Amino acid sequence: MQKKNFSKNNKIASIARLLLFSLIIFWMFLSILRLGYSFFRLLGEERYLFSLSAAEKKQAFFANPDIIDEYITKHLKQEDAIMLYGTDGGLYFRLRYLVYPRKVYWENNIGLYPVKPNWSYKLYTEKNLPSSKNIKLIIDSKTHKIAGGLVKTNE
Amino acid sequence: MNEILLIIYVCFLSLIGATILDIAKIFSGRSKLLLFSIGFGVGVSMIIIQMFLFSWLGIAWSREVLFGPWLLWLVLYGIAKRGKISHLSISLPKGSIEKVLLVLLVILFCYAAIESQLRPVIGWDAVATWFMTGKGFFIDGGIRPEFYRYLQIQDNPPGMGLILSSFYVLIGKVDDQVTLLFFTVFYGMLLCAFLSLLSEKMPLRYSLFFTFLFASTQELLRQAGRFEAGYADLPLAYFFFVSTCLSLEYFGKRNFRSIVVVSFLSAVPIFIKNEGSTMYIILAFLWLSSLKKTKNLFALVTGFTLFAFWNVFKLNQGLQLSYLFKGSLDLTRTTAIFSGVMSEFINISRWNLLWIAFFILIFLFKKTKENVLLLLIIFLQLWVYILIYFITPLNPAAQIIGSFDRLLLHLMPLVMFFIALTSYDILIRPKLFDAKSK
Repeated sequence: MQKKNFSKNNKIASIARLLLFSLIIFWMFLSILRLGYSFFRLLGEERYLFSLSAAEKKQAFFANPDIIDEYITKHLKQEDAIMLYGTDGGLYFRLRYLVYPRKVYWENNIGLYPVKPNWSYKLYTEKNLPSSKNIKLIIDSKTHKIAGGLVKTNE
Repeated sequence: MNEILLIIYVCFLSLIGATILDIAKIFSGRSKLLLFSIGFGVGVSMIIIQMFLFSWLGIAWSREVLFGPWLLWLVLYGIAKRGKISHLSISLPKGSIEKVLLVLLVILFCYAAIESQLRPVIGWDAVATWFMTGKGFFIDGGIRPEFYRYLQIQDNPPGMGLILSSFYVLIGKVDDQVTLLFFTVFYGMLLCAFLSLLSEKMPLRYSLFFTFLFASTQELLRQAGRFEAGYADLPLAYFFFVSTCLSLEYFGKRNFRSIVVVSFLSAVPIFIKNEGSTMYIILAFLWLSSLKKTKNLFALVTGFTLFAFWNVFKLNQGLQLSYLFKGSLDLTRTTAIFSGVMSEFINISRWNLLWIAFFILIFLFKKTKENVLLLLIIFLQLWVYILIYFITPLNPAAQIIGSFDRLLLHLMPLVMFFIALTSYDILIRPKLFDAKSK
């Protein structure tokens, strides 16, 4: 009886070992395949990125924030604060990062501040530009397209 | 130019850490690869803590103030150890399989490094949190509570921001493109630490094999250089791996100097991400449970001091302690959470077969004290992660899709270590034993 149990356990252990071995070999095969694919992708669809300058890469990944952030960095003082209007959360987070120490607030989350902050400019994207005569348009010098507009709050 | 400075800076950090580990007599007589890969983490931790304390005490950050003391330390170490420092010797493995595996690992590292330089900082969390704090700390010249309130990330630890801004202090400007390489370095150091710890437990051929399986996981590569480079999850995974492996070595031991350093390292994740605090609490409980044997309570104080530093700082500056204290447990989410979690475990495109192998091996592993403790640590931390989804005010199903992969990454090196040890025990060791007995 004991001998029978022993051989049964031995058989189960052998099957488990075989399964584990097959799993790991399959895993290795998968890893090598994916490594090959990664290089194929790097030399194929990602190859154009090698020849781009830092500015061109920024432009390729974030068309609008790059133009707006350059304008803000160039024309606004470091202590200025901006209120962004619109629903573009991605633009808000990128601008907040790119133009620091100038502060950027967003109308969608301004309610989260316990004390309402102050801002000296209102920023609109090309999708929600108001018809104000005081608006300073931010224009892409290459394509001549409007990227957004700034309005000074005390004007 | 900044790329070269970054490489020099990484070597500098590794040297600082290696000298500290040498003085603490950790890794004496063990591989230099292990010494320098874990030394990097110690060096990073020392700079983080130094910058944090200097900021709190109002000492302005400058190259001289931040790096001068460490240069002096290295010079003094060199003088004290004159003639006793063993030279670094690089020897390639002899077998052809080993050479092929090593080449594959080098290719993976180079791939991650190239990828990290192809794109600007684009990861959402990198832009919104980690690189934002790095830039903010550098421009503000310290950690300002107003800056934390402005970002609305009041309970986020400052470690990643501090290490990024330390490099900005060194080069005198913000260069986020080059700084992305820091994350590839964390990847490389994690692989080196993994390989050297594993090669102490099995022949080099098998340890290289398992390190390759580990290194080629897509989720890891994404954070090492692809789209999610710049997230704090990979550095946290590195620190979890290092601190847990060292803790497992030193539980129940009496070496005072080593325990001071290991206890310090086990608390460093607190400064990297919020999840680091729960890991520290788990490790601290295990340390405390071995106190009867070691009677080294004083040595454990180093880790607790770090834990206290960050929390006292938050209290003192009026910042939020943790969002976890705000919510309550919602058990009606169980089905949604369970299905979300399960679908992540079987996501082969992200993890290859890692989690599937892990869940099979937990029924087959050899019940040694080390294996049991390792599993206990993994499951306790995993349980905390799942618990978060029962508490968070956000929609758990959407949050699992957006965050659970990153949480799993923290535990992935430990899980892979367990898989490697157990697979070796089941598949290879019996064959080697048979061959020897014949």
